[in-house]
Amino acid sequence: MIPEISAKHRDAFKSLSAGWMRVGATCVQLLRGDEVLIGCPTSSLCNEPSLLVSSFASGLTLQIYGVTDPRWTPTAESMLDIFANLLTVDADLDNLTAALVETQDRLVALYELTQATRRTLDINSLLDLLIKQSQHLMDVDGGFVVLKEKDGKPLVHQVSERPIHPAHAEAAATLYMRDPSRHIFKDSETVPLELRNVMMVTLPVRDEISAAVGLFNKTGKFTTPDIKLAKAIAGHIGAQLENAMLHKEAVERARLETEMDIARQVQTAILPQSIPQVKGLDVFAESNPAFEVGGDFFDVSTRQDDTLVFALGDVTGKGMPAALLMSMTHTIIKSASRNMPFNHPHQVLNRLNHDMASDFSNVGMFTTVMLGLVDCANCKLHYSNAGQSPIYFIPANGEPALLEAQDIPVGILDAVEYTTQSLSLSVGDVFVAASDGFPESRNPAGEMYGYERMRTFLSASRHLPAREIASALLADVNTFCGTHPQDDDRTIVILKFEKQDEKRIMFNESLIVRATYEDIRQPCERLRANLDQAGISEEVASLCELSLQELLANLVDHAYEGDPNRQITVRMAGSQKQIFLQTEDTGVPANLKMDEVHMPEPEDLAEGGYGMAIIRSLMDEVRYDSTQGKNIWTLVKNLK
Amino acid sequence: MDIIKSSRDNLPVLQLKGRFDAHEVEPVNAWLAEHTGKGEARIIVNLEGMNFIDSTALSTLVRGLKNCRERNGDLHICSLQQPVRVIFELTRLDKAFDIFPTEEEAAKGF
Repeated sequence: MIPEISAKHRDAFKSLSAGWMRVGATCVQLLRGDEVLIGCPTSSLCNEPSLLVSSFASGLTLQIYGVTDPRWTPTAESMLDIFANLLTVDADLDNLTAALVETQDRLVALYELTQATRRTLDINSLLDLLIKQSQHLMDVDGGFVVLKEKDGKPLVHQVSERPIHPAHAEAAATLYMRDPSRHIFKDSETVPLELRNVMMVTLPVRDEISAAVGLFNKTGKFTTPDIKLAKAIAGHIGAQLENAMLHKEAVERARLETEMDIARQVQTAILPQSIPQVKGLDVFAESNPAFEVGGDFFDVSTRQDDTLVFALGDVTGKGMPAALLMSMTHTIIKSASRNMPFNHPHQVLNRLNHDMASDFSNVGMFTTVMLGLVDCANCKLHYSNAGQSPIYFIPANGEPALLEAQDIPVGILDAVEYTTQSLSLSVGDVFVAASDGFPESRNPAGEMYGYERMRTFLSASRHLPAREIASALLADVNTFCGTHPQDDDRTIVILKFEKQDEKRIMFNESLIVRATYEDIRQPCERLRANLDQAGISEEVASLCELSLQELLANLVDHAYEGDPNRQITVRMAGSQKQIFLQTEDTGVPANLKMDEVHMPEPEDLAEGGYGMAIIRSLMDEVRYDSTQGKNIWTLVKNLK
Repeated sequence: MDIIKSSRDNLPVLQLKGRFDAHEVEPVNAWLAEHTGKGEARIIVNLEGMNFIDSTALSTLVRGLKNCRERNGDLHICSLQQPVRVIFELTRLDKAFDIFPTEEEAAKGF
């Protein structure tokens, strides 16, 4: 744009015009198109023929009235050139001045922007600020920001004042990201219909996020300085955005860590602080949580009927939801186990599933759980397994077996009927329930420890006490994993069936028989059957039977002197520690001192006197009491 | 208890199977009396199938042994099973009787 002719140029024009006057000119005028920029004299009627020169480049015309001689034409052309140049220089100067003023404005604005962004760490506020400041500084209608994470859906941020269709913003960003060297779009092919022109610059945030700022509908057109300014603003806001994102992540991480702490506390709180001990059973259980707590839990408790109930499970998922579900599951198992009808762990799982299925499915989680009941008195282990693995049974003398889960995990389907399986236990048998954190531990090469390796290791360790089996296994897994960190909780319950409770009564019965050689066989045979069933060795059983036979035959002969109508009461009881035999008769009291009874010498070929000597040499204790007409013999045999 | 009467090399053999106790001594007593009451008494008692013996039964065998020896004979026992051998050892009667592993050896032992 050519500005008005300045006063300085007017003076020059006047003096040049005066020269023309001296050669006969009546009027000199400079025109742009039809418009008179300057004339001398300023107003006059100019009807005389004139000299006229024009410059197409500048669009200026110089008309000199009263001079027609063509020899003056070059002079007129020179004058026109001078003025054209003067006006161009003026225009440039004006432009330069305006640009300087604008740059100053922009520096101030950028400074203000810096001050404003320093105070905010909110991502949305920063994006708003980016758009509004650009709008203000570059005289555009509006702007938008498109953010796109790798393989993610693009996210369009706009300010509410001048929104455009998000798809248009996405399209512009896609176009720009294809060739980031091109910033300005104004042809109708590339610019959406609702916009006149668009300028795009990169918003540098972080490598994994591609982001671009779009500014649209500039009054006039976008220029190279606009690109530079937009880049400067985007660069500044980008750095601040990255800070904001880091801050947000830090806050999120802190929140998660707090959550993990709570989850860990919940898990620790519900795990048993001590393992109850049951006679005849070597029990060990522990949980080694991973850094990020998994959902493992276990429980071991005894019931009033002297059975032992144990549970081991793994809630899917991590954090608070898993911790809450774990604690609810644990509570239900604990309370239901106490009221569990004998021998039926599956009823507890039915109850658990019924109570918890909707809670689990609401959050898309479930839990595996194995629930077992050990009945030492009957040497039985009953268990119900809802998806828990691995479970191993390692008989004292036999091939160890991986017991597959029979039923699906709890919390998947509402109507599930769980089942109970039973194992017969012998001394030395080992039962191991573990979480998959053991077999699925990995070494730095990515190999799994594996179910088979675990089976082999347990098989080789079965002679150890339960606690030592667990620590040896853990050490083996850790050795295998080497430097690879523990990914998941490792929880284990080990039961080892030991020797029977020494004080536990294996049999206890009494019978009344007639005092005949034939009838006394009945208690002898009962005793033998009881001893055989209790697993007493054949020799000991035979000698106990002989002792009872000798005692009863003695009563037939001496207390009742062969009277078949008299009766003898026989009591027999046995534990792992001793066998107790007692007879009661109402016959002639015995006149016998046991410590004076000796086995007859073989060379004497005695035809009697062996019976009580046999009893004395076989039994550890022989007592005789006779009171109020009752004669009571008590024999005790201690077992090793 | 089962009682099987037979002979080997013209020697009377009594084979006893099962439980030999006070209730069972009568038939054994009768057989022993029959075979030890005349001439030179040499008899064999085979206990191969016996798993229990009480002191009354042992006394019966001891009486038989005495009767035989009084007539310059003997009562040989053979084929003792472990539970019964233990009782013989307990009463030390394994030292009173001549005990042979088999009936054949018991016959040759006279």
